[in-house]
Amino acid sequence: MNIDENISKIIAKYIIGTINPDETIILSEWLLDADNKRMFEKIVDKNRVIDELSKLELIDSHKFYREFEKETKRRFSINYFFKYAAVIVLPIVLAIVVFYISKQNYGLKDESIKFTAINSGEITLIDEFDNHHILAGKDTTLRLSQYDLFLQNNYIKYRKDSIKANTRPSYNTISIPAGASYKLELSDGTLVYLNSETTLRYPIRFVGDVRSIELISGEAYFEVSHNEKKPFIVNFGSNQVMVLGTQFNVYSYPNEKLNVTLVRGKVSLNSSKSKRIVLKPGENASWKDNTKDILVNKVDVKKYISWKDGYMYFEKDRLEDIMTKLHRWYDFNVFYKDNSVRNFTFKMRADKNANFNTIVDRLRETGRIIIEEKGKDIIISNVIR
Amino acid sequence: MNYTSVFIDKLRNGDRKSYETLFYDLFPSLVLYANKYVHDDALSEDIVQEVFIVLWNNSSKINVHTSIKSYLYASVKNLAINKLDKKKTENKRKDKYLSTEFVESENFDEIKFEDDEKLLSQNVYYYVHKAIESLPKKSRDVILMSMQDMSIEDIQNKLNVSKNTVKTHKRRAYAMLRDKLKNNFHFLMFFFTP
Repeated sequence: MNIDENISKIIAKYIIGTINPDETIILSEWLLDADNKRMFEKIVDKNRVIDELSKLELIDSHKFYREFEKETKRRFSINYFFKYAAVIVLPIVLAIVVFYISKQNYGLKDESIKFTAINSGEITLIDEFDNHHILAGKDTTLRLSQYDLFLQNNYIKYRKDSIKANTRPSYNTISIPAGASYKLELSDGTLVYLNSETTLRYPIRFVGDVRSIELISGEAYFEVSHNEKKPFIVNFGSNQVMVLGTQFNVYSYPNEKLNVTLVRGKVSLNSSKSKRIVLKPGENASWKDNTKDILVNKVDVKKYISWKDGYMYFEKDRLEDIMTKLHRWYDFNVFYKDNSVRNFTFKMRADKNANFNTIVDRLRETGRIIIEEKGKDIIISNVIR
Repeated sequence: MNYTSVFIDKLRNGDRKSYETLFYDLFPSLVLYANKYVHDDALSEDIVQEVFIVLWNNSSKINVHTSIKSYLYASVKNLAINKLDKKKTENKRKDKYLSTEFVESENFDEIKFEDDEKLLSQNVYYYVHKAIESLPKKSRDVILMSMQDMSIEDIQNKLNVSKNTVKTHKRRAYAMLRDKLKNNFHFLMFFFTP
């Protein structure tokens, strides 16, 4: 793609009216080509010229240059971090319950932990004594040694007045089964969306200098409430995401590529394998646990976080990967008659509320694969055999 | 603006002043160029910003033999088309769950023509604009009106000046333009890389 500077200038002079005889000859020769002539006529149209000139005049380069300067002067210093996080996190802070602890007493006035079902299922709660409790959305109160859990309509809440003051944080672990997803509100107001087949370990109350939780496996989307004094840390495997207050997604299923996607704010990603990485909004960091290199890409975040709103979005994804993800929502077994189809890529959107059959039909309609159904099993083969 | 190899070296070394010069010179044209693809002012501005930032971040890799202008136009086009694809996907998504991968039947020749035209026209207007904006206001007004084929009388009436003044301004303006474009022209011939 090359700009013909010579001709550009000559045409410009023609338009202004300062073209000289030599240039006129060059121009005439150039105009012998039909396409050139067509272009020329479009370009020298008087109305268009005036229009384009005024549009050029209207652009305020100063304003944008200042932005360019700001962007290119960024330093990843803590001070900048704080300032930046504060500006965008404010709206989130306003929307959540304020977490208050007075120095004198550890009474927890407005504090509570809530689970809300996005798609309900039976979740397993492991308390700090390693007791397993199955929670299903029915009206009941679960009495644990330190506090009560109140269950009603797919919504599970820790009864705040039942949580006793404690110097050590008590950790609970929650497991979300396939087909379900939940929204959890932690004691500081941070929202965690948990996808199917996800296990998260979190403290009933945050105590100490940091707010630390562990994503044991699965996928979670975080909207962290702003607290300058207490960074929020998500541990997953031997990796860590540290945040002040932002929105991001962590994808950490066993035997799959790990990735972290940042929607708003700023996070720093620490991995045992490589050096610290700071992510900007719209960026995704991905890596396989056994590799050293973390790949950072700018992505369409919608693809990575749509699950929390109840739909999955695939674009040029391998059929096998799509099936792996769908498998967390729907109950089926997939078999591949031809290995080639595993690599076929598809672009689609799957709504959680949709019937799995609808998705199967759509895949069939592409005319690229054959799907046989036998009860819960689906067998996929190539149309070309 | 002519980008000598000395200037390119400065860019490679991350000399801020050079970036500033480059930015002020080409930003408006590049934004309008992007807009020819995406038809979205704000998006166009973002696209060009991103291209400059990427350039800054990759300063050390700047190749002295490449025309920096060509590079910028090419980058803007690529990014714009990229974003356009995403927009199209957005719209499709609203109607269907699933869309197959297929190539829309397109007339490639026509597309090439459109692309060439977008680039050439933008560069032409860049030069016209540059030449005109260097003129003093009165001369500039006169030239713009002349370009619109306004007669001396019309211009005279619009600007409320005497006939002679208009003529003088016009003459002066043309002289300046010729001068300005002539210098650029020679310079360009010297540094132009095919």
